[in-house]
Amino acid sequence: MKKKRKLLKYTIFLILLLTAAIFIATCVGSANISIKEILSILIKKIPYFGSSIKTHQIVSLKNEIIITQIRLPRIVSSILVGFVLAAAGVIYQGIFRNPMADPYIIGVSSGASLGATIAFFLGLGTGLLGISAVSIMAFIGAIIAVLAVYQLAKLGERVPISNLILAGIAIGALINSIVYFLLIAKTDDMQKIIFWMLGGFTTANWDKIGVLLTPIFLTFFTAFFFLRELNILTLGDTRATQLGVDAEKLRRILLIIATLLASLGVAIGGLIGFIGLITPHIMRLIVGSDNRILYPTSALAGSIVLLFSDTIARTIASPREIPVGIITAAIGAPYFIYLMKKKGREIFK
Amino acid sequence: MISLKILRDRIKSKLFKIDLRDGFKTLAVIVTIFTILSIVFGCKPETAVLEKSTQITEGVTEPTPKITTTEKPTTETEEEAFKIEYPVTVTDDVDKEITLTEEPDKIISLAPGNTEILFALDLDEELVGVDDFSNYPEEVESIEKIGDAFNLNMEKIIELEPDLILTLKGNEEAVKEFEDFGIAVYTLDANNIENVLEDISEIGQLMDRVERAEELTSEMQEKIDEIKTLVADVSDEDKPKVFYMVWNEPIMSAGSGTFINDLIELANGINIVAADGLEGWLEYSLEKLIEHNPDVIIAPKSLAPTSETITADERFSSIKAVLENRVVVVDDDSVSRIGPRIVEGFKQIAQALYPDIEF
Repeated sequence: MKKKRKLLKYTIFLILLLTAAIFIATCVGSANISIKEILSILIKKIPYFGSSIKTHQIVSLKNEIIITQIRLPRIVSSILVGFVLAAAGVIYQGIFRNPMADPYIIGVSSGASLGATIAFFLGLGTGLLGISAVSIMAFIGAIIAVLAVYQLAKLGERVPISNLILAGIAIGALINSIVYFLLIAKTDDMQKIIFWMLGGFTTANWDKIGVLLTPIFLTFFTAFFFLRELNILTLGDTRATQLGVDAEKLRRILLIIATLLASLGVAIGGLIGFIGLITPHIMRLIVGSDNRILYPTSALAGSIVLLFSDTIARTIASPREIPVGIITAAIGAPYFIYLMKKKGREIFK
Repeated sequence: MISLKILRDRIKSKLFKIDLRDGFKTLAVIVTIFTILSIVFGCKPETAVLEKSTQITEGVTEPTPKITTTEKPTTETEEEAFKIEYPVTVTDDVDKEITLTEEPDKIISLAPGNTEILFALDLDEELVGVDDFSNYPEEVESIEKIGDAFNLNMEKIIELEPDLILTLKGNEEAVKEFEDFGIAVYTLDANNIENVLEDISEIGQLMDRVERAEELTSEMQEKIDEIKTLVADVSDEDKPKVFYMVWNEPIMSAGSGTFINDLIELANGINIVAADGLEGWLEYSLEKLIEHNPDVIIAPKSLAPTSETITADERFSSIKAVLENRVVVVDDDSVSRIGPRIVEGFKQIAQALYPDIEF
């Protein structure tokens, strides 16, 4: 019961914080639009009865496009990506029992960058359902790379963790050498690829969000069925087996879930580092290491941190854009160090 | 595109030092560091260049004492009068003095624009090596390729025994190496059309082609002046607001201190990015682009094979340039290469800004 109350308390707090962050993020931007006009635009967009509410504010079409087609999809994209990356980070850290594990540890990033590079290289333009070919190829590349790593690490029925990590490093190195070769071979595309690798939300659109929203939440909620067992898994395979948990099978399922989450995030925002690694640690310091609480709260915290970072990225030097990765690290790292020092105990147990 | 080239160059020079095991993280760190640096110091190189360019202007408009042209006895033909007497000393775009003791027989060009200048000065005989991107004029095909500016084939270059190498700024490590081998290097870093003309005449001096250089630059100047005259009587409020879209995902553009900005301003347009007080090549806010509502959007062919790349993009649908069908595609090579074709690039930009005038 205590656990449920704790989860509820933190969830409500984080949702309130996220709502406030969304509100602030909607109100600030490079374009100067008054809060009154923004509110009128938003009210107009409420389905069914929005148009019947009379506001006395004149709304320009230009500003409406800026808010509804640019600012809002960007906000939603950063929320979703922060959400999935932090959630994937919790799972990866749990199954690998390794504080250095992040969503990119076993091939998601290198696979995604190879996929994206190939898409740039072949000049694949429009993709499917409003999602660019680069995003689709990145998603496919990430999944294939992780599958390859998994197959390589397999010893009969068993997949030892150390083999997974080492196979991840080997495949990552191999893929990166291919990516670098392609970069050197077709230097015209180099800066596009580098920018993609940096990640960001400048190309956010509703089509992409619409397509990816359902898979994201289906995958996210599937993980809830396995969180109790993930707690047991962190005690070690032998102990887990004694407690009746099939460690190999559980690891396989969770690996699929976390990889799907991370790859979906990559499809939306490119490669955004740090969030998936640090947010779970920050939340572990605050809510403890019970994955049933840590998983959903980390996801929400990831959303808040990334939304906050992206809002700074697009406003601090406006009208210049700054890569969001710089901001996430600049605010995340000091906060994490502060928490670590304040708690004064071993973080990852 | 100069600074983009420098960016690539820097990235490349790091790439080879990357340990492949964690190459990806290293790359990310390098890119991050570079970006932070470019934000903190971003404007510095551009301003430095601008200051330099004014110095160069002074140096060229006044008779340069360093160059000893032969005295002009009345009996000699005019052709001989332009003979340069070596040693010749000129100052390049990075403020470095280059002294040549005799006329070079062999030149290598490390950038397509440089190659075009050499061809225009009838120096194709002397040109023994060019970079992989040099693709104009057609005759360049038969000249040995020596890699590209950030992936040079050092062995090949030394084997060709050049007396002079022309390069763009951003290749300092290689330049130092060449100089250690005793090869003279002239670095070009023009950020406006005037600079290009100066570079051409300086290369003319180095290569004893003063007369040809004079011919070429005055021809170019004439065309530039012609275009400038045609747009001269546009009043300030009729000047079109222009956005130059270097790239669309993310949106990148050019502020003041860039070649593109110089061309737009010379053609009597208002570059909205420079108007915001921004300098150099940068990622630009989509919101601000829509708010500024430019009359014209110019995109290079490398981004948009046709204007549809821009007009079909929903994000830009409310912009005046899109609504009024004033998205114009220009040839990258002409607007970005420091070479004789810059005049053609200028014409394309002017035409984009004033479609009703016949240039």
